[in-house]
Amino acid sequence: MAEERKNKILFVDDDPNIRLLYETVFKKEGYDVLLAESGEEGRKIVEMNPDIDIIVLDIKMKGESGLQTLQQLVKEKRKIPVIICSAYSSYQDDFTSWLADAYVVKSPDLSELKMQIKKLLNKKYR
Amino acid sequence: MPTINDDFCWLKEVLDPGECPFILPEEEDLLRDRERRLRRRCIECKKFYDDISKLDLDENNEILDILRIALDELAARNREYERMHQFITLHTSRFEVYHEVLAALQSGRSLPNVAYILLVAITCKEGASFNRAFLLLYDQERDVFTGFFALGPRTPEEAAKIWSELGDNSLQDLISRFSDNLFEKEREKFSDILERLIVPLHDEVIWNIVMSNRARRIKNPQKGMLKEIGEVIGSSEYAISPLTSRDKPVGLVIADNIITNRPIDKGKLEFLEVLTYQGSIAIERAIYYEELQRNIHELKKLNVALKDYHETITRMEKMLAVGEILHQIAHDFKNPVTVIGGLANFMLDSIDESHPMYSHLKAIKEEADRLSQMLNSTLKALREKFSLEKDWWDLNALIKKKIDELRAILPPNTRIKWEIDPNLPHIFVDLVQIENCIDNLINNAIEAMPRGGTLTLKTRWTPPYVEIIVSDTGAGVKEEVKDRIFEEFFTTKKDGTGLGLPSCKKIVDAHGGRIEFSSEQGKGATFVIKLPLEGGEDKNG
Repeated sequence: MAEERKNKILFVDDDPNIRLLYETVFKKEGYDVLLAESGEEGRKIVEMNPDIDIIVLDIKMKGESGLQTLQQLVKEKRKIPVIICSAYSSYQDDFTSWLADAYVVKSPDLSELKMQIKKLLNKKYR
Repeated sequence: MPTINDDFCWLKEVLDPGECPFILPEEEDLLRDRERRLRRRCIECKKFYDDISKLDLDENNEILDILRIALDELAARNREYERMHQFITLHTSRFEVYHEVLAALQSGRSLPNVAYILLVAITCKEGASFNRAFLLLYDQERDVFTGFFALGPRTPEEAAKIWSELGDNSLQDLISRFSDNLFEKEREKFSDILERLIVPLHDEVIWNIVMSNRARRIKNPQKGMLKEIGEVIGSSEYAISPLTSRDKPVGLVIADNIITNRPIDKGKLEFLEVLTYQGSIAIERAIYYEELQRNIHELKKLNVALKDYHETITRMEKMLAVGEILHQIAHDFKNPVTVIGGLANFMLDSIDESHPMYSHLKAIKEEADRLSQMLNSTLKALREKFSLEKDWWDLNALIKKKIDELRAILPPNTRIKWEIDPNLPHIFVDLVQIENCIDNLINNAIEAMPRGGTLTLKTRWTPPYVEIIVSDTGAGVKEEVKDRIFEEFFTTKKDGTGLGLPSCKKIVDAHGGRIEFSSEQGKGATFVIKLPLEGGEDKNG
């Protein structure tokens, strides 16, 4: 069963081209890709799709910041692993970012992100 | 020729009351005493001289007696007159001197000026004409009088030279010769004595002299402070006169005649006393004035410091804003670069190396990767700029290391000099940042001397600051840019960024210190980094 089901990843980023990139690359990688353009939208999608395996969250967005979204998710006791993927490395110093399961700095080379996703999925379905 | 007759009232032994119109009724005794009458009255009487001019002197010896008394009295009166004349002349000239000295003292501009005027008045010919004079000022904190200034020759040879040179100069001329230079020269001449002239106010004898407010002549003092003073100035006879103002001690004047050995007489002592009295008021005023000037100067300095501080804050705000803008720009570039590179990479994965677009896509991906790395390092650099990693370090060791490094790379014709303060304490700093800062100053110094020169590195412990001093002998900083050298993006170099000195300043500021610099065009520049032992807020985290 588990082998047939595609792993479901939600990408939250307010930059449409970044979303396009994630969609293109990760669909090809064999994931079920969900997209949200804001933290608020992301949380709604999470509510409707409790089977999401991983959330990839940008920090600096219009409206709710990724860190706020993360806090909200923790409050709602969602157990979905979160990867923060931000252009800034400095948010690693922010305590809130420690609530995330991984922190990846945005880069054209997506191998780091791919690796973190795999690692978290392995942990989950071990 | 008239002969002796009854009409010669001045010749009679006894006169009747009323016979002489110049003798009052209560002066009856004069009627019976011819000699006293003659001395008191006849000598002033016209009739006496008229009668005598008509007399034949050979005729009577008695008349010769009378004349002898009269001449004797005249001579005595003449002497008295001379004495009074001298007295009046002396006091008139003294009065003139007082007046001149007083006027000069009132217009004296500074403490040295007033001290000089007072001692000129005490030593010049028209004044109290002492050979030498010393002025001691009261030091309230130590409760002693200390040597401040002295005037006069030190040796007979010098005396001969000075006195012949000054011979025709009036008091006014001498006073107008004053200059700070002259003052320093005279002070220097007597520095050995002035340094040793330390007279405690609470010595009993000194206390009494000050309280009496009178000048005293001291001769062959056998013991105590007065003997010590005599030994220090090398005189067995001197005058000492206190300067007081409203019952408070201001100073002491000590004067002597060490060259001529002329005894100090009462008149000179009185003169000295009056002069010191005038001097004390002027000196007290000058001291207050200097204090006021110092306070004003301090306030001005504080004002400048405040202005500097304000400028620093403004610049730091500017820098922070620039930092934030850079941060923002770097971030805003990040997403497009990620998309461009990411998609290029994706497409690259989907095609074969033989595809005609393969090398183009590869170039896009590589450039995007490069841009991404540049953005990362910029962001990292910005982060580092705003945080400090501190520990206790020995800056002397750092400077020694710099000197060793520099020896290898210094351009020819450029010499290096250094001075290490062995007492320099360790200091709580971010060594990497401070080293950056020193490197920056050293590079500037070397660049300022394209034709060679001397680079000087020093450390100095001037509590509460550890100082690092970097100087060059280059062209110096132009006057018109002095205010701007710490400004962001300001540069005078052809390919400078204008970030070197501002970031130095930021680093030092962040350590709670400051950078000072001085420069004389054509003579080079000196930068001083002043760091407190442990200062600045720690911006870690």
